[in-house]
Amino acid sequence: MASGNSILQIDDINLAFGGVTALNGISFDVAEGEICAVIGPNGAGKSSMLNVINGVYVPQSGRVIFRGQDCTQMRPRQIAKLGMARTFQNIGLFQGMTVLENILTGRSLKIRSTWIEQGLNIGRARREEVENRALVEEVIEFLHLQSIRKTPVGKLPYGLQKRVELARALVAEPTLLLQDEPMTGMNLEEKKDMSCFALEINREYGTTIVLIEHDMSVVMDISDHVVVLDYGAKIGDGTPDEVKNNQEVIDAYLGVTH
Amino acid sequence: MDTFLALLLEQARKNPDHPALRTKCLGIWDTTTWGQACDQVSVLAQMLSQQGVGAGTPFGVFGPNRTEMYLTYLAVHSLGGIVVPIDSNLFGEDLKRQVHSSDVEHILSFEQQHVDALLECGQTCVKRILYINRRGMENYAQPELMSFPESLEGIEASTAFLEQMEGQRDPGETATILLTSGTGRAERPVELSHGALISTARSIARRERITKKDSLLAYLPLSVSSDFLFSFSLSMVTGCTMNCPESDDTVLENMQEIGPTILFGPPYVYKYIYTHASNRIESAKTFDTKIYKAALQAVMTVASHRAEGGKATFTDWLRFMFARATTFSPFCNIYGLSRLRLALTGGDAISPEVFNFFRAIGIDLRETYGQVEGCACVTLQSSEDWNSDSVGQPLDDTEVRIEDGEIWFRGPGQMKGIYKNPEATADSIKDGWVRTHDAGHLDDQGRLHVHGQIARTGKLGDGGAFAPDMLETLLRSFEYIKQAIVVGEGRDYPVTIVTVDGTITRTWADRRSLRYTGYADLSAHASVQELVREYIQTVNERLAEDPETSGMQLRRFAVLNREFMASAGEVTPTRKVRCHEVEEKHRGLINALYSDALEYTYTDPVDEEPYTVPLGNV
Repeated sequence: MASGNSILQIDDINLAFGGVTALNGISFDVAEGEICAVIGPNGAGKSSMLNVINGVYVPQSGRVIFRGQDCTQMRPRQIAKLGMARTFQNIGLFQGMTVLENILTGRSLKIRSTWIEQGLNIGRARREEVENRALVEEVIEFLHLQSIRKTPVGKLPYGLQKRVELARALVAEPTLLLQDEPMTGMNLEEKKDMSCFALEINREYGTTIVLIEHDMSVVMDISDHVVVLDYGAKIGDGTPDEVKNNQEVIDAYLGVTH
Repeated sequence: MDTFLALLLEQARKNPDHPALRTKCLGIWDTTTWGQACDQVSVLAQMLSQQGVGAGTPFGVFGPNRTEMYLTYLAVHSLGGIVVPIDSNLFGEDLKRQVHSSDVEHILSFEQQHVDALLECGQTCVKRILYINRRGMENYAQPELMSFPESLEGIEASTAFLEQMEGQRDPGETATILLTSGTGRAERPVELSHGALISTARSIARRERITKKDSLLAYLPLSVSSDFLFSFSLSMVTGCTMNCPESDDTVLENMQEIGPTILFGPPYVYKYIYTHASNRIESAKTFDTKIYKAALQAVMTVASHRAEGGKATFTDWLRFMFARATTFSPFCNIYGLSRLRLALTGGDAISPEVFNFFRAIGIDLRETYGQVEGCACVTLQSSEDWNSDSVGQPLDDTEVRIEDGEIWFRGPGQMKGIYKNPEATADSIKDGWVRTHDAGHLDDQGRLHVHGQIARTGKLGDGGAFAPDMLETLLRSFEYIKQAIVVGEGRDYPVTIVTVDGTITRTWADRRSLRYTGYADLSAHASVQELVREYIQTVNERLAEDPETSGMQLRRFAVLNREFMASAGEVTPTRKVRCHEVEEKHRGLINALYSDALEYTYTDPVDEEPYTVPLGNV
């Protein structure tokens, strides 16, 4: 699906927390329509990288360019409005709300009606409610969540909660989807489902996906492009095959003395 | 008048605004009235006619229960074509075999998964594959593929077209080809005529006074004959509403939303509700459990009086009414059974415990008996009959007789024959009577009692009687046992392989703080073995009471590491166990049961993992 035009450019990012350098001069490009995996051992800076991309962290230097716009200094909300959505490593759902309600929150940025209109259920509010619900229902069907629509999220097993989180990200109709370890803690079956969903989202909606993942077989199977981080530095960048044969990457994974 | 097309035109004329079909789609129940159904069928029929579907063309329908599927049935029927419903979970060789066995040239499939399954079959006789859902279909270039919605563009609804077609239709035409379940013998394609299906449905509707105000749930796979009869045909004959659930996982929830007045379900459906309820009670608070148990006791007392023909005392009756009003009325509401006035079951023996439970809580559960060869229903139990042994009396104009212990029937609902197989037809129909391959007897009130498949009833090694079907039903009565097969023909003693119900056994194990990793581990757990052993002991005690059955006591058992699965060909789409297949597949395990071994290790062909199954002595 990759078209060659880059949708996201990471340019020489440096990020430090006090004296600890989390990211050290990282640069890479994500092409439009591809699935890009960011991998690396624990503490390599993968989640920090994702947090820099969607504006949770502001790097000390370097630029993040998303669809031609420099968004390094933007807040997460502004970036989300540009068409970027994400899922979290430690599920960030409202545990007491139902699956349907949780997914509907993913539409909050698209709502134009005022709270007065919503309270009285008049004007734009009414129309928006119907439109949003219709879109949410499509995603529910896509991710096979019909049978748990009305179940409170807190009662669901972990694997399904991850799927609900993905659904919430999808209803925002993102052009770029960030997924932080979408498959950790899942069994083989659930991982397979999740990989299929990632591929289908990519193909069906043309969504570009950047994901962090530990499971190498999954990464090698579904991604078009792999970026390897280790101790805050980029040590590999290329197709899954190129990365697999990269000596530095092999060392980082098998472990050599530093 | 006895064609489905004529019925459609009649319903559209008489009740144009009455809902005919509902399908839950994207969270909303989409309703199609009889008037709309007629218009849509006319469009569909014109399109199919352009595609070359005509009289006698077998047309495959491959997908879930949905409005489009049933409307396509009618469109095919209006052209004189034959509907061949295909189980939407089929793939590979099984799918290829079914497509070939009925010469299907045109298929309506639902989505990408179905198209893929069909394309993977390779070279078949299929010339045209229509698909409804366009998702993921952009990159398919095969010439035989065609989008269903696109194919309908530009065609005008025309009742005149249907009326013109009606003149050419005849009740003797084949309406559908359905496969037999293949539990005993190989699957065979059975031809059923419009007349046979319609008269069977009419007979049921007349007896039970089913009207257009009724509502039913069409949730069984399309390929199952009971769906064709109890959903499609019954709705066509009476004008009642058919409701298609959103997906396989949402059937219970959708049932609650719809509150059907009529429900047909194979025994597994009722057992599921029964087990589901027991499971919830098992994990409820002690006080709630006590109330429930007392209420159950109260209704069961009166139920057993009725079953035995005795009279309940006034206090018993008061308690009964109180328990129903306070406990079981809400119970029925939770499961969507409050409006249910007729619950039917058939296709397999229902266990007496489940039957009595539903009757006791106020659900009018009836047993039916029938085979594909007899449009899925030959006899129907009456409301007054509280005996779960009997499957009731034959439908109108239908006769049942017993010859050498085998059940034979004849009537308007019998099949035309086995598709393109005169020898098999001649073997099945003799002098107008259709054989069932089932053993049974008629009682003095003309009610039929079914004992099981003839091929399976045999003798033990010592010449004693052996009725595995009866033993299996007894074993399945236990809520923790989901499936069971009994082997023993020509052996010294019978043995059994059972599978436990994962959900309820897990709850049971969790309450006892047992440690286990998954289903396989749990099934091999010593406590679960003990639970099963104790139950088999009570079964043996019951068998020992009757000298005729005392020789059939089970000596050894194994709890399998997984349930019998449809994908492994071990159960039919209605979850009836295919004994023959299971015996073949687990030959090694059965042999081990006839040795002194205490465990059996094998590689399960399903996931190619090694498992050790403990073998228990009773």
